[in-house]
Amino acid sequence: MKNSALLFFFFSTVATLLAQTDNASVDNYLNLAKTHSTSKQDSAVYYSNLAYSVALKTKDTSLIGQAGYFHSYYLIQSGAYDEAEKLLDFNITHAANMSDRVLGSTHYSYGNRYYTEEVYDKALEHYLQGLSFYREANNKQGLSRTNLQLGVVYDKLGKKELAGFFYEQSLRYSERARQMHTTKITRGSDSTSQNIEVSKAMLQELEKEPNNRIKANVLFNLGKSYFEGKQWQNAAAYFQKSYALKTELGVAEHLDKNLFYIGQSYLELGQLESAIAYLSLATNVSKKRNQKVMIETALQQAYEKSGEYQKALHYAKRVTRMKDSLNTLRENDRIAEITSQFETEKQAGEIKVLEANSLLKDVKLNNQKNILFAIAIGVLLLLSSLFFAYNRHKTKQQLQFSEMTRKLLQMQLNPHFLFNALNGIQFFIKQNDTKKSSRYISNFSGLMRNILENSVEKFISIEEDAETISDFLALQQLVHNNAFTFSITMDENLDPQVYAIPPMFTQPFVENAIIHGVRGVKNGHILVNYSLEGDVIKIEIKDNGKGIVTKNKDANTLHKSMGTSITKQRMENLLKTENYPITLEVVSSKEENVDHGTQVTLTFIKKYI
Amino acid sequence: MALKCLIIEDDLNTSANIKEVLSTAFPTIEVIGLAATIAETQNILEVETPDFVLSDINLGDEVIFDFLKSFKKVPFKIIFITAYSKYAVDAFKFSALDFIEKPFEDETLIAAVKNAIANLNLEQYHKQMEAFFYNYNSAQKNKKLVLKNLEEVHIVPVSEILFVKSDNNYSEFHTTDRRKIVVSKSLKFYEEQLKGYSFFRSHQSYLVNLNFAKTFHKTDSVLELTNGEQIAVAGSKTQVLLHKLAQLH
Repeated sequence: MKNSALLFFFFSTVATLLAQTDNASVDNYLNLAKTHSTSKQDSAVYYSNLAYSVALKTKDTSLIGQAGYFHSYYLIQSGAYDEAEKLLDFNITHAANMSDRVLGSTHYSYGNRYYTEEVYDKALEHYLQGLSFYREANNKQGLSRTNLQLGVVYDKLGKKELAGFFYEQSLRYSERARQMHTTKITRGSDSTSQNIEVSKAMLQELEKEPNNRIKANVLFNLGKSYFEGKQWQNAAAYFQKSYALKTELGVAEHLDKNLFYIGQSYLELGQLESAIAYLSLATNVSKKRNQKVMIETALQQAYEKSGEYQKALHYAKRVTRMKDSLNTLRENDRIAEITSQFETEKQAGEIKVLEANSLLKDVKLNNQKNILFAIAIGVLLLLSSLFFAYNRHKTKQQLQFSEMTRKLLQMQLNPHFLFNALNGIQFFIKQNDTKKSSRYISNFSGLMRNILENSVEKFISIEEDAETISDFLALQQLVHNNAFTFSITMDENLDPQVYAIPPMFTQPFVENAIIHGVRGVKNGHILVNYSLEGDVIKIEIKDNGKGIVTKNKDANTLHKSMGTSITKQRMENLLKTENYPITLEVVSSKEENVDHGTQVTLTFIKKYI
Repeated sequence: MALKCLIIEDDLNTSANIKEVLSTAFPTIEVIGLAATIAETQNILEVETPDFVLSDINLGDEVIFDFLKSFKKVPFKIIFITAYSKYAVDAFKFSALDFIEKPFEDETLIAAVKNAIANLNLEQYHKQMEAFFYNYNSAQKNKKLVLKNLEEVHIVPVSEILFVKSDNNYSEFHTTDRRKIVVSKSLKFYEEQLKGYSFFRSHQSYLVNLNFAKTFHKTDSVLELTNGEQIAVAGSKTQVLLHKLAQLH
């Protein structure tokens, strides 16, 4: 001490003369402090204090800052947080005069101060600030250790991914960090026995050296390894050794933790008294809230086991209070906030990579989109073509129907027949036969009316059909000079006003009966009979004519063949569209050259008008 | 010298009516018989040869054409009577044959008979009958037009007529084989007849077959045909002509 005082004196006098010598003295003191830091915490603080005092005298803020930082570093290690904080605050307020490196170190120290107290939100904040200053200064050592500390903090917070990220960052800057990292990583890994061996080997190495902080740490690690291996006895022993060494060296760091583990080990061993003693000590020493929670939880368990429920309850309450404290919640929020802030920055970098990736994906996606689009278009086209095909089919059907109606009308309005009929009527007019003229004109108009009206109906009453046939036969008689007779009969059980059949089915067969039956036959007769038989309506058209022959291609035969083909088509259509079947039976016989004429039978389903 | 006439008609009322009209209007015409069927016709023809015949087309199941085809040269003029037969009527018109449609007025019948007996020369008649059968049985586009004047009967396929030029009440037919046929019928008559073919009345005096159109000179309003003939086009017809030419192919 005297030595150092002399040195101080000497250097301080020289320092007034030369800033250069001041700088040198500051460095000197700091080196001294560094050498003592591993063994004697107090000496380290002492020398750093000297360095700081010399720096103060130079009034060089930059130098003050540098020395102040070192001093604060040792102060924090010895647990003098308040004093350290003052020095660091000075640096922060005079940031304008400080180098980036000093500022980085300042924040790093601040981070350490909060880290040791386990105030992780503030620790993270300062570490991250420190990181940015170190980055400006391009200080590898600083970057390495700050990143490492960030990794440690996030590890403690259980954010393994982030921790991994910072560990990686740290490794980029330092080989030493790699070693520290590996020890940190092996800590907490499950290969307990391996850890024990490593720690023991390290201990043997350290035997040769004087007691220092590292030895204390290794002892602690060994204790922890045994603890994890559930070898409580050994754990307690090594924790105690570590504790003893730390008190000897004056190291304040992790004392509470050490004490807690001793207590916990005893608790596991069932040595409740010792456990309670160490834990009580630990809770008094500890300023870290989280650590305190753990300690007091253990205390509560210990009291519970020893049957001192009152005290157990006391600690239980304290633990819950601490856990639920608003502070904790706030702190958690802050941690989340800081983390997210950092993550945004980190992500900003990643975003660029992701953007490139997403661009690639976009192209792929676009391709897929195009394919999907093409498929959609294809489906649409298919659907629309189906729709149009269906529409076309429908219109085609409608067209077919109207075409058939037209043909039907043409068939009914057989012009050859009509003009012949008119010719016949004209004859009676010339003869001044008003009675006949008037009768045939009314037949003619009746037939016309029925044909025109019925052609648009799907079903007409039997009565209407019979009227049409009657007019038609009367006019045919006229045209054929009354060469045949006819009769239309109706069965009594068939009410002609009630039942219905499709229009213009009877007429073509009646026409055939005249042209191919009774024409040119003496005493020709045509009989049309309507009857109801069970569930069917029957129409019989009977003639006593020639039977079916002829191949002549005159207007009438052409007309006739058209008539039957249309009738057949209509029968098919009615079956398809109305599910209305019609059967046609033609019996034509010639026996021993005697004509028996032709009988056509049309059968319809009973249907009401 | 009395003219002999045969009436072939299956409607007895009608044939009686015709006979009565004829005997009233033409004292010189002698009705040699009323036939209702082809068989009856044959029976009469075995005994007598008429100067002209009035014949219904449809006789019950029979058609008179079938019977007429059996003659190499039909030995009498025929006035056809029909109630309705679009094909036959068209063919009659193209072949310049006489016909009347039922129901008819007495005057119509009288005019037809007058026209028939005015020229009973049968020299070219078989040509007309041939053209008729051809037209009656063939598709519409290949019809043959019978062009008749006092001296000759020309049978011209419609597809070979280049153009028809009007000269007062005469029509001058120009054909692809460079014939020029003058007929004493108005251009209007042929314009009606050739409706539905590719003929166009380009001018008051011209009916032109557009199938032979080559160039239309707008400035001169002249339509040049493939044979180099120049046909006048009336100003009012220019637009319609352009439209028709666009439709043609």
